[in-house]
Amino acid sequence: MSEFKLAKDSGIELNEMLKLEVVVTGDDQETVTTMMKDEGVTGYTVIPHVSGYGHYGHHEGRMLFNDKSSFVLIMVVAPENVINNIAEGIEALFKGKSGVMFISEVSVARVTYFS
Amino acid sequence: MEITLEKLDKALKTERRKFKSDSSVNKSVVKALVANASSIVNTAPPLKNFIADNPTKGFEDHDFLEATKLIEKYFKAKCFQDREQYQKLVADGEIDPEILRSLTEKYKKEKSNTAEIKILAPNLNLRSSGDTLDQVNNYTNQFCAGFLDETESVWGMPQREKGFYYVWKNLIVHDPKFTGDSKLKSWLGSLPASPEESLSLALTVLGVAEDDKLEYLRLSLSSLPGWASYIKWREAHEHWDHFKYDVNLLEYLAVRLHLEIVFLKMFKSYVPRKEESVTITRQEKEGEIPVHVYQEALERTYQKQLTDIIETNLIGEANSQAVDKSLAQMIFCMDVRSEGIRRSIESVSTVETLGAAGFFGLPVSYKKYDEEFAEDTCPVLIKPVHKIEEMVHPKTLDKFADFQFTKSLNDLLIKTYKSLKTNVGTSFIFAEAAGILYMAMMLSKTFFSKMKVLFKDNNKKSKDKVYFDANVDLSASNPSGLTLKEQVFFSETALRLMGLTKNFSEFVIFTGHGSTTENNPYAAALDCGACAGQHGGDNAKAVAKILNNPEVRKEIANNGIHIPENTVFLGAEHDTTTDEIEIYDIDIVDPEKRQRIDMLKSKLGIAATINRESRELTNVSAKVNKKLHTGSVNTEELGIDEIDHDKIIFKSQDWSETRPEWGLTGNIAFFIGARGLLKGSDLRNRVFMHSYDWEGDTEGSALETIMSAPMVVTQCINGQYYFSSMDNVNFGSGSKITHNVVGDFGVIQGNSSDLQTGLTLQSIFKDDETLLYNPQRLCVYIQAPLSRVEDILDRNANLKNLFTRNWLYLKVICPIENKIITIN
Repeated sequence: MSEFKLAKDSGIELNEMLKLEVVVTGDDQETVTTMMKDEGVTGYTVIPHVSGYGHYGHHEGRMLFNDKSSFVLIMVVAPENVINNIAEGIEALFKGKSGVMFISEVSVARVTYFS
Repeated sequence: MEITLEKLDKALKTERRKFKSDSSVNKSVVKALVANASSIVNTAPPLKNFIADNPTKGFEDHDFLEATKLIEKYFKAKCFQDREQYQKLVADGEIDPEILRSLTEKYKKEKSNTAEIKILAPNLNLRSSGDTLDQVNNYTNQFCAGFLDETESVWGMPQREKGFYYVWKNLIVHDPKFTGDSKLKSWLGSLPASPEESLSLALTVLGVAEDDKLEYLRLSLSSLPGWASYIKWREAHEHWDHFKYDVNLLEYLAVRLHLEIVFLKMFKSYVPRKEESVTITRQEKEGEIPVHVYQEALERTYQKQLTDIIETNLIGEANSQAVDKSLAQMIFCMDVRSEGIRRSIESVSTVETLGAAGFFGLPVSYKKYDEEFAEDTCPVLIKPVHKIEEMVHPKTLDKFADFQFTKSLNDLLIKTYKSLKTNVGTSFIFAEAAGILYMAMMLSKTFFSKMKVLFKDNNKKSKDKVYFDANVDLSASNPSGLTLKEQVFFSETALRLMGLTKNFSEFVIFTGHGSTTENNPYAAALDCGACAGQHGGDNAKAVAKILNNPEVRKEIANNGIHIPENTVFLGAEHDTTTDEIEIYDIDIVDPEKRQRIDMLKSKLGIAATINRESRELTNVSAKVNKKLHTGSVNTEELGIDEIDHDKIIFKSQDWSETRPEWGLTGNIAFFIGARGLLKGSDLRNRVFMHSYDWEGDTEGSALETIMSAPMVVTQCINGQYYFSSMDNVNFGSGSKITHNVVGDFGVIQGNSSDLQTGLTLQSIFKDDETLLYNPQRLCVYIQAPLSRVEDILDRNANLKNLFTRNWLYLKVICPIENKIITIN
C-alpha cells in the first residue's frame, strides 16, 4: 500500500484503501455487518431508511415502524484483501437478495483506525 | 456429480487432508450461502415472545399460487383444503356459486397459465432413506434441546460459550455410538475448527455441486423447520440478555451436514439423486375446479359481504353522522378482538372508539419491576430504541414494603423448590415428601379457582395493589428513557396516524390488551402482536403519561394539535379472555372526574357482558360464524342455552383449559378508515381496524406508515393463521394435549420432536377435524383517494408486491369517486 502526501505543507499523511458501499434491506443488515466484523474490519457506518429507485422499482425510506423492509446503506473502508473477501460474500448474498454494491479507491488519514 | 458410498469413503480420506493445506474458504461467501438458504424458514421466537408470523414468509417473492406449489414440495405440506371440504362449503352457502362460476370461467380463459420452477428432488440422498433421515433428525432434536436449554436442566452441556458447532465437535468424539468405526472416529476427530470451513468440507464430501449448494442447504433446513426457525430467531437476537449462549444457522448446518455423513456411513444407505421439476398448472384436471379457485371464491364471497356493509354506510348517513363522545374516547388495538368490544361499548355508551397498532407508537422495551429482563413491546419489524422501566407510584409507596416482603418470600420458596426438585441428593425424597402437598395444591387449583372467580372482590383487589408507573423521562438514573423531543415525536405520530388531532373528549383512554390464562405455554399467542407478544397495558400507560405532560402538549400545540386543558389521557388494558377492562386511573383526584370515570367503568362492565355473549354465540353457533351479520342475534333465535358468563371468565383461571379464547382466529380483513363505514355491523371479531382520517393526511405520510407497518403485521398474522389452519402438522404446533415444554423456550410433541412453532390445534380447530373458521387471505380496505394509495404503492415495491403477487387483496374506498374500487 503506497503512501503519498495530500499537499506539500498539509501535514496530513494519507493511505490508499478500498471503500465498499452496499445497499441491502434492513433484514440483511446483520448478515453483512457480521461478514465485516468477522473479516476484521475496525468499523463501519450504517445509514438506515435510505430511499431510491432500482431494479425492483422505487423504495421509499419513510418506513417509520418497519426496519426490516426499508433499505440501509452500509459503508466500510479497509485494506484491499479484506474488502475483496467481503465483496465476494456480498456478491454471493445477492444471488438470493436485492441490493447493490460499489467499491472505490479512497485515501484515508489516521490509517491505524482502519486496519 | 453424484455421491456413492465409495466416493464418500474416498472423500473422507482425501478431503480433510486437502483442507489442512487449503485454507482458501471465503468465510463471507459461506455466510452468504447460509443467509440465502435461511429464507426457506421464517423466524420463530421463544414461547414467552410468541407472535403469529407467516411461516412461509420466505416464499413471498413468488406469486401466491406458485409459492404454494413450492411449499407443498419442500415441506410436503397442504396449502389448501381438500376439494370435498370446499364442495361442502358451496353446499352450505359459504361459497357463493356465482362467484365460483365466474372465477372458474376466468381461469379457463387464461391461456398462459403454466409456469415451471425447477427445484432439486427433496434432500438428495436423505429424504428417501428413512433410517438415515430419522437418525439425523432424532440426533438433531436431542442435541438442539440440550444445547438450547438454559433454564430447565441442572447439568448443562459444557463449553456452550464457544458455540453450537464447537460443543458438538467436542462431544461426538466421545460418543461410543460413533467411535466404533475407526475411519469415522478419525474423521470426526479432525474436523476443522471453523464452522464455515467445516460446512464447506461437508458439502464437498457429500458431493454437492457448486450450483446445488444453496438448494441442498435449503432442503436441510426444511427437514426440521422448527429448530431452524427458532435458531434463526436467536441469530437475529444475538447477545440478547435473556440468553447466555448464542447460536446460529451456520453452525447448525455444519453439524447437520456432518451428521448426514456420519449416518450415511453407518447405515450405508444411499438413493441416487435426481433432478425434479415442479410444474405449476392452474387447471388440474379436465372438468375439475382447482382447489385454489375454490379458495379464492370463498375469500371473495366474504369480501362481498364486507364490501356490501361498507357500501351501504358509504351512501347512507352513518358515515357522516357526528359521533357522540361526551363520555370518552377509547383507543383500542387494531387486533380483530377489539372489534367486538368496541361495538359493545358503542352500543351502551357515548364513547367514541378508535383503532391503532396496540404499541401506540412507542418503539420501546419495557422492564416490569419484578421481571429480570426488559421485554420488547413494539412490533417485531422494529428494534426498540428505548427502554422504559417501571417505578412504584408515589401514592402506593406505603404498600410497597409488604409487596416486596411477599415477593422475596415467593422467590425464596420457588428457589428452594427448584433446588430440592432438581438436586441429585434430594429429588426423590422431595417427590415422596411433598407429593401430598402437591395433591392438595392440585385439588385446590381444580376446585377452588372457580370460587375465586365467583367471589372475586375487585375493590379489595385494587385497594391492596401496588401501582407501578412508567418511568419515561430520560435522566441520569434513567439513561434509556425518552427525551422531550422524542416524547413529542412518538406521541404526536400516534395521534396523527389514527387521525385524532382535534375534538378531544374529557377522557382519552389508550386501551392495550392481553389475555389471562393458566398453565398455558402459549399464553403469549393470545397477547398483543403489535407489542411482540406482551400485554399492551404498559405501552398504553406510558403514552398516556407522555401526553399528560404539559411540556409535550405545548410542543404538540406548536405543531397544530391543540389538546384542551381539561382532557386527561389514561392507560387501560382489555382482558381478551374475560372482556374486563382495567383503567389505570390512580391519578384522577377531582371528585367530578372520578364520578364520570366510575360511570364509564359501569358502562364498560355492561359492554363486557354483551361482548362475552356475542363471542360465545359466534363460537358455538355455525349459523352465526358462517356470515358477517349486520343485525343482532340472541340465544333464543339460535336455540342455544343461556350464556354462562362465569364459565367464560373461569376459562382464564382454569389450569386444564386448552382454549381460554380464540385469539385472532378467523381474521379476514384489515380496514383502514373511518369507523362510521363499519358502524353498527357485527363483524364477528374478524376484522383488523385502524382509524385513518384521509382528509387530515394530505401528504399521505400517515397512510404510508400504516401500510408499511401495521398492514405488514396483519399480513404476517394472517399468514400464520392461514397456514397453521391448512396444515397444522407442518405449520402449526399440533395438539396441546401431547405437548412437552422444552427449556422454557418452546414445546415439542412427546419426548422428542422438531420444535413446534405455529398455532396449536386448539387455537383454530373446534375438534380434531373441524376448523372454527375456514382460513382466508386478508383483504385490505383503505379509505383514501385512489391516487394516494397508488402513489404509495408505486414508491414502495415491497408493499406493492404483496398485492400483485396475491398474498393480500386490496380494495380502495375512494372518497373522491365515492365508491369501492377493487385492485386485485
